[in-house]
Amino acid sequence: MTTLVVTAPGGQSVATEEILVLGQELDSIGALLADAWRTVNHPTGPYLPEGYREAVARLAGVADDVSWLCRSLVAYTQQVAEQERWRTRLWDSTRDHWTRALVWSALGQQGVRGGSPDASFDDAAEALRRLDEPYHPAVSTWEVDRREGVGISQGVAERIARIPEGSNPVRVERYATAEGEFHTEVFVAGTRTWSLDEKTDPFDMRSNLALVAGAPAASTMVTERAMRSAGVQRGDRVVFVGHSQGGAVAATLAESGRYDTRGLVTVGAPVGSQPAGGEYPALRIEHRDDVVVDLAGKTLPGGHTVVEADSGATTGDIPGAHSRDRYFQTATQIDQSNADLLSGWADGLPGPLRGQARWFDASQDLSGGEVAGGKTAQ
Amino acid sequence: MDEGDIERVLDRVQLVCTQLQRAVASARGLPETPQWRGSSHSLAQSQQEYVLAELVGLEREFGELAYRCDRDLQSLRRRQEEEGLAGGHW
Repeated sequence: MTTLVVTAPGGQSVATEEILVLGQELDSIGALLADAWRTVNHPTGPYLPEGYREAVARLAGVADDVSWLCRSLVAYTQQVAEQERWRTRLWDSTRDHWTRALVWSALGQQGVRGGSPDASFDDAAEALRRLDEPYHPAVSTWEVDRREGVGISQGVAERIARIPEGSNPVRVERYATAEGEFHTEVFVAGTRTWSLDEKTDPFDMRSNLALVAGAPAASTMVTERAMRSAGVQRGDRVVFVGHSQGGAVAATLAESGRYDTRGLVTVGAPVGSQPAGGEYPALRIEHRDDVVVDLAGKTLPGGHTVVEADSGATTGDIPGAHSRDRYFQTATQIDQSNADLLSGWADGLPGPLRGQARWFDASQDLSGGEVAGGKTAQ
Repeated sequence: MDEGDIERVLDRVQLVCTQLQRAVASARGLPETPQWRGSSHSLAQSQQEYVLAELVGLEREFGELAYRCDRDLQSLRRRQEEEGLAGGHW
């Protein structure tokens, strides 16, 4: 069956191919009814059973109704296709304005900035400048949990599943290879705090803006400090994996030149303006209905393999389209893909290894002083 | 009116019954719409239910017509037999 599913950027699928099939089936039924009507629609003889004329009239009515339904379904299908085509076109031009509105709304700014999509750098930088205080975060990182004997991730989906959610935003895994070197995998969570009133969480909107603006972000500092705490040194082999803001952090560190980056996987991350320039395999997974991925503004060409998919979330379910769980499902499809570009992603990565996983939490101080609680500030 | 008049109507009605049985079977086999959402789902669902309900009603109606035709045919034959007996036509 030809796939004619039309999918809106918001994620709602309209299965028009099924409607077309239904129309064909109804057409067959309509033909049967037309035959039946011709059978009984003849000049009446001297005999007619009681209710005959009424039944024939009703048969004609149902035949007309089915014929009308067929025509309506075809018209509906065409309208839906046309509507979705227009909606897609409109969405492309308005989504950037809309996401910008979200950012500015979160910042408590009046009005919505317009401009072209590639204006996001300037917008983010200006937003940082307009914050009620200068953005010079001091961060503190501490280990929360540690586990030994952890098996290295196999495939993309397993790596997505290891991105932390909730309280501990950074996970660092270290594996000793047979060559006596270390292979590190770093998993970074997304934005935890959306309010600008709450100022102690480094995974906040300020970090988002800083990442988009290309400024040092607290969440990036936290991740690198966690890596150092886990024993990662400059030049070590590292695979970076991140969701949302964590993806932007991962992309920043992968491109920093401080590590021997062996791979980068970002999901739902505003990293379109951070092209992968290294020789490492970089996989950027984006849901077409995830508005966060466009926060970076204009997408620049680079070495990423970009996988776009529909999240499957219902229209308007913005968190659903952006959720790590939805991206995990998409990553599962990627792992099952026979496309060389995808199946060969992890060819250069180590085979089965066991090592250590550590989880880290963090805080930030935006006052310019030391972080409370005796933690080491940066 | 003779037997032939009723038989011609009965044949047509029975043929329609057969056609309606096929139509009902087709309507019951209409594709399911598990992924349809919102208006498209309710539209398709209501159409399927409407068509099936109408066809089942028609099938029953023409079945009753066939029954009446057959009943009238048997009645005519009995009457003719009775008239034949009364008239001594053996």
